Amino acid sequence: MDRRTFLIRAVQLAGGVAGLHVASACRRDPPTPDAGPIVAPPAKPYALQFFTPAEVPTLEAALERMFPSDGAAGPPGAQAAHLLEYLDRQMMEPHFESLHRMMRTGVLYLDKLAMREQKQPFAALPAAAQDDILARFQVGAVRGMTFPQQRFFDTLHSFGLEGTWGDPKYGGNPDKIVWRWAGIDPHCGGHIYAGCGG
Amino acid sequence: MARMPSWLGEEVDVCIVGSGAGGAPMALELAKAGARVVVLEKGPWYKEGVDFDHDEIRNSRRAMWVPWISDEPHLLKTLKDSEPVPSTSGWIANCVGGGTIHMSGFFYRLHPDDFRLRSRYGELAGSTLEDWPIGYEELAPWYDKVEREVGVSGLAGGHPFEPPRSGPYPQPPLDENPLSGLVDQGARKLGWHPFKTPRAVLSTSVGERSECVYCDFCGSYGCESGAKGSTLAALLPRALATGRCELRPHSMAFEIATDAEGRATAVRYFDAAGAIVEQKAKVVVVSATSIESARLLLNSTSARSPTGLANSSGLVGKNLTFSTLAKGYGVFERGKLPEAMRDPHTIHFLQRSLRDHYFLAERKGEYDKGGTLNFLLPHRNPIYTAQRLSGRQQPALWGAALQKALHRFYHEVHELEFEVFGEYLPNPGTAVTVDGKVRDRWGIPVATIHLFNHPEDLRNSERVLQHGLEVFKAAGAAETGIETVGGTTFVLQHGTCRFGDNPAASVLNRFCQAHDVPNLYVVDGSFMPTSGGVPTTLTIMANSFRVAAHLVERLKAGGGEVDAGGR
Repeated sequence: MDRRTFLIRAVQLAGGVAGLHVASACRRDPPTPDAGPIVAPPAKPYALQFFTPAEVPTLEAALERMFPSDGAAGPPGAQAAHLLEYLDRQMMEPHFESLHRMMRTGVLYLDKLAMREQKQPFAALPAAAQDDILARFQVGAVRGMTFPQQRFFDTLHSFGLEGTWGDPKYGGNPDKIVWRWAGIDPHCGGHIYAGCGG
Repeated sequence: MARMPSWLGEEVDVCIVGSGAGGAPMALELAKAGARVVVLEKGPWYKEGVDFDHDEIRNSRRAMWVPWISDEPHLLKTLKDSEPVPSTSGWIANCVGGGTIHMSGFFYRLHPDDFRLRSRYGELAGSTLEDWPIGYEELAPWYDKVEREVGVSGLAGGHPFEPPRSGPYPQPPLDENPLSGLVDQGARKLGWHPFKTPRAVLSTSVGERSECVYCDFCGSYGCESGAKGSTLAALLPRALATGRCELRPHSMAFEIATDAEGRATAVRYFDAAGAIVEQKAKVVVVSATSIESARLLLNSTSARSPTGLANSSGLVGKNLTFSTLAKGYGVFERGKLPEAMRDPHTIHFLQRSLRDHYFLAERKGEYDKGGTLNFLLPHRNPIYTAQRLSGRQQPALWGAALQKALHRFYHEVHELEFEVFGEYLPNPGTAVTVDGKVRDRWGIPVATIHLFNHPEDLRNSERVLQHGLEVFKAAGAAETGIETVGGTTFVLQHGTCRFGDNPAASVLNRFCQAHDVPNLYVVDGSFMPTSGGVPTTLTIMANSFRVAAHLVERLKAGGGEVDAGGR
């Protein structure tokens, strides 16, 4: 696509409102959101390196509630953003060894609590019940637990935000799917970046 | 460009610790004058166009600028802690160029009264307030020089609170987002005087440095075009081009060696391989941040100076100041804005400031020091954006509720924000100490930062914050809110080696030369007795050029100090 076609397409997608401005700012080539449709790319096979198959259902369920895929007009959720892959890769980074024990134990405790209170594994609970458990972890309201439940919640959520909104090269946000939903592309900075609208 | 010399194992004229806002102007001016200069930088030497990108995880969430807490902690002690806690706070940027690499480059000048707050207010309970030994008029020519050397863009004469200046800015103002009109409307309705924020960012290219490409990622990131006036882009290449400046990255200084007369003789440091190296020099210049410079002096003990080098006053590390932080935001419905303001994909610079509240009218006759309001568009960092929206409620938003907030942010509204740069009064509760209980990865005792906000600063900073919110309300914001109040901007540091004419009440003299050690200078923010109500990078650079001119004169005059003609 040549520069002119790209700009026209971008203007159309912006609903025409932005047309004048995009045209008048050509000298600067402001970043323009990628015009592609927002669909999840086919999942590339990824072999977990840190988490075990037994941990996956609980972890996936928790990430799915933190980053729902069914949110009405929301950004792509945990599954589309490949958050499990992102988190698993981050656990292999040297400076995050210190988090290993907490992450494993946290997953275990989500399940234990679900079993104790609902007689079902966390992953099998209805969404509202999963939300309730996570919300109690968030504020440290699970009684009789010496485990740092708030820190676990914050760490999991924080990694989830990184995977969702971070650079695709780390394994999350595949094909910039979340950035495209938001109409942003941090790589598109000014005209020195070939491939960003030119 | 001249080949970089290698003076390993040789005595040089000047050894400078740190390559940021303080160290680099000295390196440039001294090398130009013919001195042999070695610059030691603890961090890596990132290269423009190679190492600077927009990867938020790498730039803002790992250890690109600030070391891992497990490798090199600071210890932070506030009133609520019984014991200091490990923290990354207090690091600025460990790399060639220091904090000028990831600064936003808001290059405001201090107000003339910033140099004489003690005279303005007299004795202030709970504060160790002091006048500066120099006045605005002595620094003004050096402000002019930095603005030329670095390339500062702005519009002179834009408002009645502008500190005196000799002429226009060397660079015309940067392009800006049409939303800046909202700040203009709101502020003018209230009778205030919005002006274009002066920036150390080129609006027109200079030599090999490109004009700004409006890449949206300015503060917190390295500049890939050379438009930002970092020392890496603006000063160090010229210092290196003299062939008389050697820059050594990955060099962690831990001690300044002295002789029997108490003169500095060398800087000892760990090189990239962890080996101890000694760099002998006739003059030592320390510029490693106010916290780290104090740490280096306090760790440089000897029989002659058992409590640390240059510390006969006992004031090294004392009178640490930062900048008092407050932040607020305004939310505007896109659909209700004029068409020209609706597009989310235009230039990210808002470029508006207010100094109407630098001295608060409502506190006239009392302690009226307020600060500067700097209006911005929220940082484009997408992870940070999501975290910021999440943290607006307690408990923090997550799940569908956060997704809704994100949809609103990216598709329905425009958010504007402002940051308050407020005075941070020097006080006995804010200081740097070193006790040796905790050591970093090299085994060097780390700095403990004691933090205490003077109540007057908190009160006045909140007043300035409220004025910022009034601007948004007057401009028709659908919602306004407070992001931070009573905070501390840790990357703006001053005071730990305050300068003055009385050796019993200051560490450095008016030329930033240690009272105790005639061939030792400190040129980062450490010299500043007070913080001012603006980001202080411009002031640190201006002072460093001033001190460099003094040192060059001194070397040329001989005095047996240095062979000014060099070899």
